[in-house]
Amino acid sequence: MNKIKAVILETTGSRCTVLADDGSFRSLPNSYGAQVGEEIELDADAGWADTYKQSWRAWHAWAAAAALLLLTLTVALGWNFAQASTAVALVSIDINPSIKLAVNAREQVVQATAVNADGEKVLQALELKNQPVPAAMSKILEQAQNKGYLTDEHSWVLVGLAPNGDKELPPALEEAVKSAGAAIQEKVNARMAVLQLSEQERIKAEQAGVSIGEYALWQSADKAGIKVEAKELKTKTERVRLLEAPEIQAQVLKDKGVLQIPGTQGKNDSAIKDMLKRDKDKDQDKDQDKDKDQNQEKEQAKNNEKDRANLIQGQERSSKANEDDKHEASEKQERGNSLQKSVPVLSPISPAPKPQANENDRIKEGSKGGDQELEAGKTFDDESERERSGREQKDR
Amino acid sequence: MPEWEERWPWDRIQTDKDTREAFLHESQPFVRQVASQASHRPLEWGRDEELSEAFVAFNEAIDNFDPERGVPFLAYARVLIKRRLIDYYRKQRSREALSLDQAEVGVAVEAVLSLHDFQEGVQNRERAAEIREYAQELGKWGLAFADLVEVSPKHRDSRETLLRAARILAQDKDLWQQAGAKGKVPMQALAQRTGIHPKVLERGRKYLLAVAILIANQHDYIYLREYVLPRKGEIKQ
Repeated sequence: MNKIKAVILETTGSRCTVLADDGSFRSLPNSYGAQVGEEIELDADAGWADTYKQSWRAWHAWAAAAALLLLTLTVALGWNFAQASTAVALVSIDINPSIKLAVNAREQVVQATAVNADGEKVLQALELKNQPVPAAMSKILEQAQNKGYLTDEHSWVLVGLAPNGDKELPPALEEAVKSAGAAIQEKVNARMAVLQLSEQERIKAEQAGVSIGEYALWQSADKAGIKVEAKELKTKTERVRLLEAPEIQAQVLKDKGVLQIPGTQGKNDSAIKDMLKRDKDKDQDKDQDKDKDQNQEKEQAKNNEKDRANLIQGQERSSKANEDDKHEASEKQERGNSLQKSVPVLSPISPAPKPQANENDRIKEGSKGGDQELEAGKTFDDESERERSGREQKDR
Repeated sequence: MPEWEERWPWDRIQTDKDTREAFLHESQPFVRQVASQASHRPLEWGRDEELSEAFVAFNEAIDNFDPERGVPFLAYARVLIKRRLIDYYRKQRSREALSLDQAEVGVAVEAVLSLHDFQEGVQNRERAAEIREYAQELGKWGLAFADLVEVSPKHRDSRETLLRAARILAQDKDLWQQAGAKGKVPMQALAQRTGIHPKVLERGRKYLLAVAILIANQHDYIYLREYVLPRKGEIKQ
């Protein structure tokens, strides 16, 4: 390689600018450690043909890589931030302190708001932002317990869940709330009702100036035939009165609400059973065997292991069961099983009576529902037809 | 200043009296420029004693010079002139304040620098001084070394085209005066003069100017000019 002479004009950091004797100015690494004014020899194409261009290219590559990285980071962070800061659900908690939580898609608290003065006192000492819902709930409940709002005497916690805007309710939210309830029940004899509202109902609740839980409770009370002013729900005593009314408890369960009541199962159980019986009598008083069936079913259901294979058939048969006096014990067993499955919520009340309730409800409201619901009320002329349709359903 | 020195074969300058006289005559502007710089004031022939001193130093430089050493003669001569003048001023001062400053009498700088002593260290310092001046001069035109790296033409042909244009600009008195007066290159005139397309000149404007500065100040940039002038053996255009 041709060597050419060059003089150092300037040194900056690890590089130097030279004037080469072909009249070109070049920039190259000062590997010579040369001082300004010194003469050096360099390869004829050093300083740009390779080094300079390469460094330029390398710079481009770096810049591109850095830009890409920055873009990715921005998008990722932006997405994260958007997801973290968007409230997709609202949770109301009414003990006497009333608190509202906004929850994001990751089930973290975005915002905690006190609805009344007691709520403020509870929230004062708590930092709930970005906390997962179970932790936030537990803290609130503990704080309420510490401050004497939640005791064995004042034991009701009314929790309302509702989606915010067009977002879906995070599926694990109810579980999260329930786990928090279970946790506090280890410390205090708390009773918790968890009720859900749709987006439209939530808006109505806001317009009425009540919390999600209060509105849902009011709805259930209304359905159960107990008329109260929505405003009255703001008072704790009225809330507790409603929550303790067995009719309403039953209605709550019908509406897919959750009751977490430790220790008091027996009492509630019987009260609700009574009530459900009444319901059933109303709708099906011609069917005298029904009560017996009901009890049988209940026992069977308790012992049942949940058998997925039987489910479809069970659902279908159960729907017909209302009209069919002749069905056998095994069928009833299946029915009980399937219906137990259809109500997802753990509760101290045995699940068997619920199908009855559900069906009643449906007949009343002419409502929504799954397969077994649509089939409800249909009659079948004979056993064979019923079986055929059962097979068809299975095939489907 | 190779193109100049090459016209003066050293064996004849050093041996032939007439050639030497002619060379000394032609070198007068150089001597004056260097002496003026060293004294920090413009000097006139026949008026300022410094010029005579400088001229004597230049004459000694011719005697001491050996072209085989590969050192530019004018660079060597310049160092000798400067040293001579420093010595001259020191003597002047000690003469004025003799009683006060006895010690300095006789402690003259070594005014005569043998070519042997004119080694790399001195040359580097000389070059560095030139570079400092050059950087200052570029600054006046709004240029910096870093810019020049970027605008320096990478292709040999385009570089040589601009080098040629720069030589013409620097050596054409009218054009260079115009450039100095306006603070920028007279593009149209230069394009006409060189026959190079104005676009090419415009694109190489900074480089062109930087090189022209080196070439135009022939007495200041003895070392640096060598880098932008055609090498020995290359045909001068």
